[in-house]
Amino acid sequence: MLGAAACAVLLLGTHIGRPAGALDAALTLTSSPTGELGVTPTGTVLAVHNLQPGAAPVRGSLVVHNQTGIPLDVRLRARPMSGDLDSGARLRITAGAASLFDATLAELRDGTRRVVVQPGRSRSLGIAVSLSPGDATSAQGRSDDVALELTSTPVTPSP
Amino acid sequence: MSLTRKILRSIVVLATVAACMGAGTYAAFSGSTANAGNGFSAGTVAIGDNDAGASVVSLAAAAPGQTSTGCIAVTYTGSLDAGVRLYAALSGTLGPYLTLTVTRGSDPSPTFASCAGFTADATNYVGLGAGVLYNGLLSAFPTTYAAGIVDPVTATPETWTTGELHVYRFSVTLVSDNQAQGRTGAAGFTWEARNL
Repeated sequence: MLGAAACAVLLLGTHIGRPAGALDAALTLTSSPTGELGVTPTGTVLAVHNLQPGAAPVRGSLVVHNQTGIPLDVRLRARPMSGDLDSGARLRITAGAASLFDATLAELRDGTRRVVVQPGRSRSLGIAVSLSPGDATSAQGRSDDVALELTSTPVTPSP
Repeated sequence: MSLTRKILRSIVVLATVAACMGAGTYAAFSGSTANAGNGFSAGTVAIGDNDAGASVVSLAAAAPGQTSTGCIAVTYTGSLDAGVRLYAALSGTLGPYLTLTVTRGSDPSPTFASCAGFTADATNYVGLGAGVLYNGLLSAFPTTYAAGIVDPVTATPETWTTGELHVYRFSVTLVSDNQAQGRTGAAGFTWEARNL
């Protein structure tokens, strides 16, 4: 009796966390340099094949190098291939302690807040990807390849 | 195939399809499958540099023998493999009195227009020294894509791929010629990529 109860609890626990037959979501983030900005790594920044709703974020990083001779305001924006995870995937992008972005993949199409990179210097950007806890069905089995596009403009002095 | 035969075959195919559609309409059960989300995108040819609008070399009120040297990093950001040529747009009358040397190389951490980390390519592409692509008067530099310097000038031109970066060192010197006095000139350099 006790064994049967333990087994039932175990089975229930398994099913509450992840419905039987549920398919993971997959997301690949890539980046490439511009003339003004070098980037490391080039190509795949983060490839996640087992995104599950509510699971801990998967983390990666990207180093951006200002190759010009002037300070640059740098932003990242997403260019998803399919858009299948636009509402389900959540991204948080940081530069040190500063948060540049914390919202859905769809909103990343409009870009992050700016981060200043001095000439000849690099900044490391942290990237965390997760699935919204309430998106158990709509993101199931979906995948997307997202190009993280770097844009830069000369820093404009504050008025 | 003649036109007549084409039309006949089309009719046969249509008739067959119509028969199948009819069968689907009258069936009691139906099922379907779909393959959505097929993406299509065209490749790109794109190339950029790190000058942020600034000039790589400049001479102001120069004396004979005065030299200006600077380095510029050029990055290929397109998705299609490409070949690259370098050419210039020249203006003014000082070109015949300026010598120009263009050397291709690398820099692990390029910063416009510094050449502090520049290392010339080891290859002697055109017999002028390691990495040198051009050494002559500015006025004789190619001014069209057709005549442009194929990058690099070897038996097999370089195939540029996504993320590829090369650094070019430009060095301009005012020659010692009395005729150069008071003259001015300008040059804009273009790296043009075309997919292979």
